[in-house]
Amino acid sequence: MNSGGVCALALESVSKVYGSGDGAVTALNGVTVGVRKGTFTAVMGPSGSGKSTFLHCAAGLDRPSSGRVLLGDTELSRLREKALTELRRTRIGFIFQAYNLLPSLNVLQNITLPMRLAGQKPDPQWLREIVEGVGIAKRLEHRPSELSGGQQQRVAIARALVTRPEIVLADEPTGALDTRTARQVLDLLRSIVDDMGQTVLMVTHDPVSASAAHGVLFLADGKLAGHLSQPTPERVAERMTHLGEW
Amino acid sequence: MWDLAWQTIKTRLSGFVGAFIAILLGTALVAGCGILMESGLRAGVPTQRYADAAVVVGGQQTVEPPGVGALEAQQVGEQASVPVALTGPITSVPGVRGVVAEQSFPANVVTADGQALTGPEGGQSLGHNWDAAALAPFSLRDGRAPTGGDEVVLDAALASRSGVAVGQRVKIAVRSAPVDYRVSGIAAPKSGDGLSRQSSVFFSEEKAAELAGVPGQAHAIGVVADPGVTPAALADKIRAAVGTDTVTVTTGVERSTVEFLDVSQTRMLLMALAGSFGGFALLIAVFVVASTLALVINQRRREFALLRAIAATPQQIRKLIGAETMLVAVVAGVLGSGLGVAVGYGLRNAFSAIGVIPPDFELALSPIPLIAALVLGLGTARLAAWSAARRPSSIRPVEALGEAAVERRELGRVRTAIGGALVVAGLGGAMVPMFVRGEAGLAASSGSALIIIIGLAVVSPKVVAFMTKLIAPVLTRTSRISGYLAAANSQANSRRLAAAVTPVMLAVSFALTMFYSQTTAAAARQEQTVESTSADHVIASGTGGLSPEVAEAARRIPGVSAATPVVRTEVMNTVQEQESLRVERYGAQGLDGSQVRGNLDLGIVSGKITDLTGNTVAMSESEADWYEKKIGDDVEFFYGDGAPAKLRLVATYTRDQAFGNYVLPVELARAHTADRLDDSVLVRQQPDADSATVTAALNDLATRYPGLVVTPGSSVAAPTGGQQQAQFYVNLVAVGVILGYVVISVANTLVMSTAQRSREFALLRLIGTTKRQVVRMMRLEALATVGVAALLGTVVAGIPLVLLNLGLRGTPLPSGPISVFGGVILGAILLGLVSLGLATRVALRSKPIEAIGLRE
Repeated sequence: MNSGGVCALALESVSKVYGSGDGAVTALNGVTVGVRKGTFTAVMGPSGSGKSTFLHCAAGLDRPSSGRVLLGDTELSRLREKALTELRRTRIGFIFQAYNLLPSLNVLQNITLPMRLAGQKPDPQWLREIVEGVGIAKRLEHRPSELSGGQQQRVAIARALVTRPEIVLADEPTGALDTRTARQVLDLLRSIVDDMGQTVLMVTHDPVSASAAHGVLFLADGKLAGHLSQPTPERVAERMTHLGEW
Repeated sequence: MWDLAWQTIKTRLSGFVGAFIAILLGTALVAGCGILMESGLRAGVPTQRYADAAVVVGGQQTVEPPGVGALEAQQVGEQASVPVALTGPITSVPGVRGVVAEQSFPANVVTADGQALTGPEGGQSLGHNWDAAALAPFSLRDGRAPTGGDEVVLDAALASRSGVAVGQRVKIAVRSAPVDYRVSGIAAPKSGDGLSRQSSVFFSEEKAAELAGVPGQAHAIGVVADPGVTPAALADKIRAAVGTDTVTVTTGVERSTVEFLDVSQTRMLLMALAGSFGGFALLIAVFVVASTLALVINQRRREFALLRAIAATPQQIRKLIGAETMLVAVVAGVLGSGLGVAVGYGLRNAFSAIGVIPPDFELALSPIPLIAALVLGLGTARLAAWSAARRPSSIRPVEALGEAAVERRELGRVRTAIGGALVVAGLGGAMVPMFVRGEAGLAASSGSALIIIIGLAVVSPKVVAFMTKLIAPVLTRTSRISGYLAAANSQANSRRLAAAVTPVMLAVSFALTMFYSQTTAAAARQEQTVESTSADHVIASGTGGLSPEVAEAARRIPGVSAATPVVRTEVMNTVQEQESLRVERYGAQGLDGSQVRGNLDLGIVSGKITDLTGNTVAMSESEADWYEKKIGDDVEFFYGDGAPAKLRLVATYTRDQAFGNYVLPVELARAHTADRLDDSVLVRQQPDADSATVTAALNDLATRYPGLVVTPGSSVAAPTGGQQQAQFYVNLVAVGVILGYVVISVANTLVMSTAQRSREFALLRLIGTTKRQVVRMMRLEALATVGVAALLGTVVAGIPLVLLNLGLRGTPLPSGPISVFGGVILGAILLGLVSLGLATRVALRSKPIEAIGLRE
């Protein structure tokens, strides 16, 4: 599953240690991973396996203690806070579990917020394409509080896409949704990969969610614990059970 | 960024109400002070005696020695005179139609039954030369002008009160026993029978000059202009002709500063008051606005974390908060400036109601103070936004990914260090009154209280966390469920609590410091005055002043061993402060050195008070030390009327609270006051004298000197001098207004932070807490909040006050009514209970199952 030259994102022997001395906790321990362009990858692992730290390091939200994080050709671990922020704004899209949207802005304003922060004008054609793509074209004037949870996540996906980022990172994007709505959001994520050629990396603990991806990476105790292509919920669940036993 | 900010404000109106109110009222307060300050510069009352004079030339009204900046100059405490010789050069100025030198001196009509008449409503009754009647103008209604030395013209109102008519005789007292005059005429101004602020008695030219008593000097020179000449242009020409070193040339409302001493005093008071009060208001506004903003911003942490995560730089977050605040501040500032006019007039009315400023004193209104207040208000908001934005801008974007909304507890190390340093500096400053006495010590004391408050406010979350740790067990014990919850809340959210505690603490300590430092100073003065006075009798006057002859007369009474006149006045001296030279005013007294013994004990340290005669001076020990003067050295300063003095130091003393920093020979002190009268006479009788006989003899003096009152020596009062008393009331009003501001802001903060907790209340009720338990929990929280605040506020105010009392009075317990302390604490408790109680009730109104579903 390695780089092959077309990686959107690559982690090379990334370790992350919190605290120091006796109280030190190793959240990531020499993880090396490459995410190929145009793929939908899920990261799974039991609680405390280092999933969140993995995502934070990949997104430049947190600095690894050692190792390198490469977004395309840019090494994130070397960048200063401001440069990192600007990089996140233009080259990475984000989707969180909940509270994704600013309550005071309407849907359209929320979607274009990253462009506005970057001082750019959104391309109207692209904007129309994505709002139609995620199916919220009729609700642009609404405020987040007037939308259902699933609709809010669609808006979040549209916002993640608006800057044409090199990778979209999603943290439990369906965690707060019911099964049916979750399925729709996952299908949408899959379709932006298959139809638009996006790269998506998603952290989740739900085997059903993970099965929507092209491939699943397993993490345990801060280490890479395996890989699964063409996942189905059953196979993912089986692997997870094994991880739990380790 | 601005449209984003506007968007946020539109949807989060309720969150910004707090900041809005804080800025609105803060700006209004500052604008009100600005109006008072401007009025102190250029307002007054309509002139009465000089209504027809385009320009009035009076004595120099400020003391401004070389090297002192214009802003540091001091208004004179007594009215200075102007040389009559200046009429020559003024007459030859083109555009001048007439010039009159006006004499002015106290002149009271004494009625047949021995009563001395004052002016209308206790005002002044003044004598002038008849020529000066043209300045008002007074015109004869009956009879003719006074020609001989024994003729007078009375204003019609005074004549009717005196019950005399043209041709009759009238007794008039001018700094002496009353003398018989013949009423040659009755005059009246253009409208009415007399002037509203004063009564007027006109003498012939020679008689008036003789009675005024200073040859070659006049009270003022009135200039009547040719038709078509504007007063301003004429004033400029006159200034060019006579210079402005020794005189002031006034027009318009300014003329009243030459006419009335109280107008120039009021202007000075307003300047001083508006300066310090406005500064306080500004400082408090910064705190209140910052704490309200901090609260709103703390509630929006998730939002800022999200913004950071989807790629806003810390700088953009700061800009956003700045822009939001500015949008609110502009609206609030503009409205607040407008409201400032009402505040200015409200303060004016309050001050005139307590008698500190004349009721007819008009405010000067111009856009300048309003614009200045707006700018300061915006600056305050900017500063507050900057301080409130530092934290959210450093939020780690990872927080957006997390679920928790628990507060971060630790304070920045820099902030802790700054707060600690301020508290230590404040405590150091509080020690000053132990070593430095008088006004400087008093000022240092209140200043240090303020510094401690600021220091504590800076580290308040830490202090509050510490205090709640102490209180928590008490709360838990008070009530098993509600108390336990209240304790947990207080401990977990020390930052939220701090936002409420800080302003209450500020208000409590501010009120206590202001009030009790004043009562302490007054008590110290009174105690020292009583302690140092051993006179058996005090003679005072019901008409404003005693004739200098009274002391002499009292001394001649058999059985009297000594009688000293007392003249209370002020002197001014320059104080070198680093690079700048400042003029400072000091309380001073005029005494008769040879008559002091037995009457007064100044606590002489060196020299002899009996040497106090001729060109000599006695100084308080601390003042002499400050200027490094020893007995026999020449001391230079300025008299109350601004004239320079160079006197030989003959004695130093310790009781500066009772006597002020300078004691002058009575003749010198008297010569540099406007009315040249004594304030009181202290009489000591011989040990073997019969007290009743002496008292009777002293009372007999009243037949010769109408208006004279004799009281026992024990009734001696400290030199309140109007000024200090006025300052006290002024402070009271000022503190009241500032407290009102703080109260509104605190209530607002409490309501805001409680309303945000409706979800928490809903959760509590869903898991089985009754409505009553929630209400009780909040009540206990409110009590804990104000309890901590009241305790801290009392301690912060208490330390400097105790030290001040030790320094001034030798006892740690502050003087003054305890009820004020009780009232302040009670007020704080009520404030907490009412605002939290109301907000809780509102938050509890919705059904818990609905409230819990509400989005953030």
